[in-house]
Amino acid sequence: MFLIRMALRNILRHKLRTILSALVVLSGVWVLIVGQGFIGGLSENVIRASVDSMAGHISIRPTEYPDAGFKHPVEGLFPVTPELVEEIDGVSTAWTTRTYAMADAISHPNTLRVRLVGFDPERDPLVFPRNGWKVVGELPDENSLMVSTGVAKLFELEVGDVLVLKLRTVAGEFNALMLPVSGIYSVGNPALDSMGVFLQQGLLGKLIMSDRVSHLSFRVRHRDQAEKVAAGLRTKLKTFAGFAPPGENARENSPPVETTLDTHVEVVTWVDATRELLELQQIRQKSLNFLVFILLGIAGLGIANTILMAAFERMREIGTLRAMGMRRRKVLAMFLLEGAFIGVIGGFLGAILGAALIYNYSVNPIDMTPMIEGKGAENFPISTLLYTEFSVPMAVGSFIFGVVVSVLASIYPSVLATRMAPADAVRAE
Amino acid sequence: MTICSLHNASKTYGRDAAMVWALRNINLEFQAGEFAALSGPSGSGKTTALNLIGCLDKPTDGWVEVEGTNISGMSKSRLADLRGAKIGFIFQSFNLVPVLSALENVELALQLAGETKNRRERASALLMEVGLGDMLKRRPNQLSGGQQQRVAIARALVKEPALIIADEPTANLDSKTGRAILELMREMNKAKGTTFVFSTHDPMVMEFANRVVQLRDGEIESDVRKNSGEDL
Repeated sequence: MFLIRMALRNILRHKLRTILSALVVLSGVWVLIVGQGFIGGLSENVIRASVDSMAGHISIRPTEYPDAGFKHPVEGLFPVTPELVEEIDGVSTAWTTRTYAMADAISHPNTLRVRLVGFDPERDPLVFPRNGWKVVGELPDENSLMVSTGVAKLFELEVGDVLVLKLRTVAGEFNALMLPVSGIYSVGNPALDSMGVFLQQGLLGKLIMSDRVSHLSFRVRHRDQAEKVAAGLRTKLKTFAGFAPPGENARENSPPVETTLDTHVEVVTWVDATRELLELQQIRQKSLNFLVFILLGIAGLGIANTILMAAFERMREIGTLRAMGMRRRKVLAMFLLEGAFIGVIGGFLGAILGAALIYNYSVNPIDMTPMIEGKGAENFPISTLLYTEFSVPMAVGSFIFGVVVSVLASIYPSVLATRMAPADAVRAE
Repeated sequence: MTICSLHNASKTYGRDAAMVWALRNINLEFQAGEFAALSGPSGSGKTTALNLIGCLDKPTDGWVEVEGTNISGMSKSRLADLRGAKIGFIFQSFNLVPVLSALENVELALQLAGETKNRRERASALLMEVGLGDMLKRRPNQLSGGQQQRVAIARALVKEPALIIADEPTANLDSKTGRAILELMREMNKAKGTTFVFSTHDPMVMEFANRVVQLRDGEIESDVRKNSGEDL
């Protein structure tokens, strides 16, 4: 107790010096927490934007669909037969079908390439939660469409206006429909918000002349289970013969041709869908680690300097304590405690301030619309609302890290302090 | 009873041509209850002798015994324990721990001596005895030089050591305060029978001492016990 009391009072002897050292630790811990919070939030944001609006947790889709999906006409669609439904039912809590296809949207005199999203009105919300959706007007019925804010802006469309969609059917013939706009949406994913058009699966089927779909998407209880469920799904569907081969863009009534999974149809998870984006996040994470390493390095040097100065200033006091019978180990402990206390003060405040900020933005997201708009980031699947990622273990971990750095930095000057011979130290000026 | 003794003790600093002899082949014994002064001009070896007697340092040659135990082979930690239990120190510049109150400074000595019982009570009782009963909570910077030295005396005495080493205890005090401090130390020496060895070149201190050891160039010039007037 005496040691703790002395160490605490000692760090208050030079308040300014202690405050400055603690401030550096504070900034290191703060940057660590805030950086982690933002990068974690950004990763989560990228994942969630992609998962909740397009990727789902698991999808069965034509192989290499992201490239194939831009082809015109769409290739590799597969039928949702009762046999397939039987295979997949019970795999996860929810599934739905979607068809993505590229089309020309025409509103005289402009033409724009848009991405059509054909969705199942009943099942879609089970897999793609709509809490982030903003819709002006209504969701589309069997004979209308819903355009994204981006499309609406380019065409200067309002609810009730009409838009012509022109695309090729699965057989390669042109087809077009003039459809009223029931609503204008944003789903928080610029990939859909800039060039997307939602319409019911049935209506899209009429346009492409097929009731086949490009995606069968699943939502599992927690996305961490996706890989496991996907593996099970792959095994289960290995022998399933109901997928159509590539080029088999036959009309509704043509029978499905036997094919194999992974040659023409693949099972992918959200991890596959967001891999490249997450790799980018990892680079960010590394940059942050480097920055924090430098900051905490500076903090360590600051603390080492503080303890070193304290040791030299208090040489006579150390000598006296040693003369009075204090062992070297205890003198060392006293100085290490002083370093630790500076770390605790700085680290605690840094953790509190950082955690408060990150917690706040994890509840009240930052609206990034002004940052994204017009910056060429329209195709980057990131929600316009950035929720930071708050976690107590991360804040506590950063705090502990700050304290550990402080203690480590105190070791060398503390050892120096104990090396002085008591006979000389007691008379030091 | 011999409390502390130096046997053929020498202390040198530096090497070869630069070697300086601080003490040369000294033999000294201090008996229980002595109030002895080590005197001599600067560089005579007073401080070095005091360091050896107080187990703060070891001789280059010869050996030191405390209560009959040779300390030569003791590790630094054991020496620290020995000092903590058996030797009290009073310094010229008082050397109180500035972040501790008068009471805590005295208590600390008990803590370092490994005492666990009634530390606070014993420390405050002794502070009362040295006339600081109403200043227990004061920090050293709120005390005068004389008061600080009284705290230092209480700190040295509280663990009831066999020996108290006082390094020029009155050098930083005016003569009136210095006298009062010496009277207090003498009083404690008589009342508790604690052995005091101090270094000084203050004639007043020597006047109080019942034994004066004169050192010059690291050697004993004279060793006089006053009560018998005998030159040892």
